[in-house]
Amino acid sequence: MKWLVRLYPARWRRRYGAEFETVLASQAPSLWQILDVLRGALDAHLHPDLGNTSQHTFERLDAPGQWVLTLAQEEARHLGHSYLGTEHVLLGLARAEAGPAPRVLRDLGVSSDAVRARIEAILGPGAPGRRGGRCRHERIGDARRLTPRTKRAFQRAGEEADRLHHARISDAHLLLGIIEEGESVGARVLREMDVGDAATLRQRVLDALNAPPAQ
Amino acid sequence: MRARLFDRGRFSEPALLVLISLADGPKHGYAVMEDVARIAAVRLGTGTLYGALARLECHGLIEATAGDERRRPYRLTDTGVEALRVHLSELRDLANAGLRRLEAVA
Repeated sequence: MKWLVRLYPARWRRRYGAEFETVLASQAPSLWQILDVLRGALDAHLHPDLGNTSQHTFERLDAPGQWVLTLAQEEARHLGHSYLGTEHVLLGLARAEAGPAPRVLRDLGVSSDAVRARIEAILGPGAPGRRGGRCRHERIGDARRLTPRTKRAFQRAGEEADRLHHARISDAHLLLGIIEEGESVGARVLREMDVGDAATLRQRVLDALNAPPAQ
Repeated sequence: MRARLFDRGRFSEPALLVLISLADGPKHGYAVMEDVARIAAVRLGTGTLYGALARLECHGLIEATAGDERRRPYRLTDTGVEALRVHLSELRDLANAGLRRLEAVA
């Protein structure tokens, strides 16, 4: 019955194909199962957003980078935002504690509470009109839509890693990516917190990357 | 379509069964199927199961956890826990109202 999975759209198969096959293989073949899968495949074609993930974008994150992303998702959820923005990633960085970027933020007095307060001042409590709605978005893990600027910030983080000949993207590259994406809410929060201009901040992050941790 | 998440503003039956199945901890697809068969005596087809899983994940009510790609466990998100709690409470109120009426007749 494994051929049945081929009835699903390619994007859906990339996300669910492997586990779907496992479950299908555990079932006794029957007309009922086949009809059920036919209906499921039709449904998946009619709703192309299902299984739309951008996991590959994040495959390069190392463990600290992933931790930042996890915290960012959590912050977005707590703030009631249905998307993932650079502001959430910045919050994740401020909360992460360990690592060069969190160290730089801490030294500059950029606490997670302060960042959260600035985000709410900029966006207003309860968030912009991007809440809820249909799930037409790229998803990761607990899955929030990435704003275009966040995508670009991640792209820039990747370019920073390339430039530094680092195989993986870590917290420091993420912070550099946010700083460079000057129009992003994350960059705006940093500007408003009076932590120096972008070039100075960038240099601080690069210095922290090269300096071994204090302990 | 049965796999639709909201049916007249409520969870479709498969989506509700999946949420209930995940309420006591993460499970992969096949385990959800077996669990639902045990607790609700409902046999979910593979297409129906994955229609519900994909929608619930898309709406942020469940999330995939790290694990073997072929047996990837899912768990409820905080939003999912809350949504399930509200929905089950409503169902309980409805059931109680119905039972009270039956008692009044008897």
